[in-house]
Amino acid sequence: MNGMQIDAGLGALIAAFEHNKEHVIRDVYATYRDSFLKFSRGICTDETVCIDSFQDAVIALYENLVDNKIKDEGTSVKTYLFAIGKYKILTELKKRKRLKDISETLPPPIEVQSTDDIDKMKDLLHAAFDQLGPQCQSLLTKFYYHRYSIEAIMHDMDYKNENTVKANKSRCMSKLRAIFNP
Amino acid sequence: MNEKDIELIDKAIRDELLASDKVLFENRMKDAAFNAEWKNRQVIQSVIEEKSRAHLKSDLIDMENKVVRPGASPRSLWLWLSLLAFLIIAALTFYYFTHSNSETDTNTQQPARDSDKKPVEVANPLYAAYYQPYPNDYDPITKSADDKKSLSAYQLYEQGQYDEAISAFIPKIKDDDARWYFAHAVLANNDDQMAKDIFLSFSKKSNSPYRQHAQWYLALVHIKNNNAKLAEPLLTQLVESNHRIYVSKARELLDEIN
Repeated sequence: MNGMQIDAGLGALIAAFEHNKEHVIRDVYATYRDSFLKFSRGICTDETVCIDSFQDAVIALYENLVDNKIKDEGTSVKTYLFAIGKYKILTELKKRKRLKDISETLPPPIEVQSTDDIDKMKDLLHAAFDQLGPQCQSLLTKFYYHRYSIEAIMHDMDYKNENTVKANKSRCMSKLRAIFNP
Repeated sequence: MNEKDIELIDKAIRDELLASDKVLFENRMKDAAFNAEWKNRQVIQSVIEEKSRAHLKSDLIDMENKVVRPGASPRSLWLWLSLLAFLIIAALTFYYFTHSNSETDTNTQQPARDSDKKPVEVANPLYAAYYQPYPNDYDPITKSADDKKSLSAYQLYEQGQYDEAISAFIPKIKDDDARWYFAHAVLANNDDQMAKDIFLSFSKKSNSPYRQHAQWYLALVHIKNNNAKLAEPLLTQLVESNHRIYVSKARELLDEIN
């Protein structure tokens, strides 16, 4: 997929996305990065905020595509992406301003250790996921985040058949549980 | 938890429940074990999402740092990078085949040796004690009849048919998993330099899941080549990383070296 196709609109992006999810995000980033920075100069002077917000906007666009939340209603990719990017910049600037106001009026915050059970479980799961083998990490990520179908994973990861993918997915989940809760 | 329940939960997590599935799902939610599993899976799902989002962000930061430069056209840079990748693959392929041919030529001049076997090297005893082939987790050989028809590159590797595995990996070498196992196949064939180059590149990729595995095998190849000094910093990093598989082995090996 090239910039011309991306420029054609959300429909073309959705179609390209069906075939090559992970490359689309890089193409979108490379295609719109410079023009977004020009566009955002009016609202933010700190380039690192602009770039960071643009990266978050591209990720948000990706996740909306994965979740089928984007409909092709004649909108261009640029309009859609820049609207998310602008929102991200404004949110970040508001957050910074709020923090600045707070830091000027209050003593520095005391770090509070979260005692929430789900947070603890998530911390342990993060560590357990890091300890999984690369293939398992890749398979689970493709299925649960990138939302590949079992058939797409079979082709993408060069598995023999769909049953092998299912068996490996189940094995990877068992491994994750075993590391998390030995 | 049976397979159908897991499939139902997966569909719910991926927001793919049909109307009939929704009725079934609501019914199954009355079961305490199913309900607990659903809650569990939601937490796992959110952790995988956070990890993947962070991974994606780090990819974009890498792109920002390495590829997208002010004033440069990103598309022409991609073109150059693709060309560079192609040249590296072509060079690796050429190097491997010319190298393995020269080994075969040497073997044919020694009639006492089985011509199908690679020359036997006297391994460094420390290397011999610690080296274990990297397991084929990717596409393991199973007992099903279907799997016996033809073996994948990974399965050839698992069976120790390294020459065949290498040939099967080469067309896929742009893929990280294939390149990783290719490196192990060439290492098993005593092509240490090529294995070392590939392990080194993996060990430098901060967001690669192979990073720490690569540090371990790179350290082992240094030891095999009697360069224990080069292995030390890699082993120290592994000890500090507290990696489940390598921390104790790396500590032991460091003790042995010192």
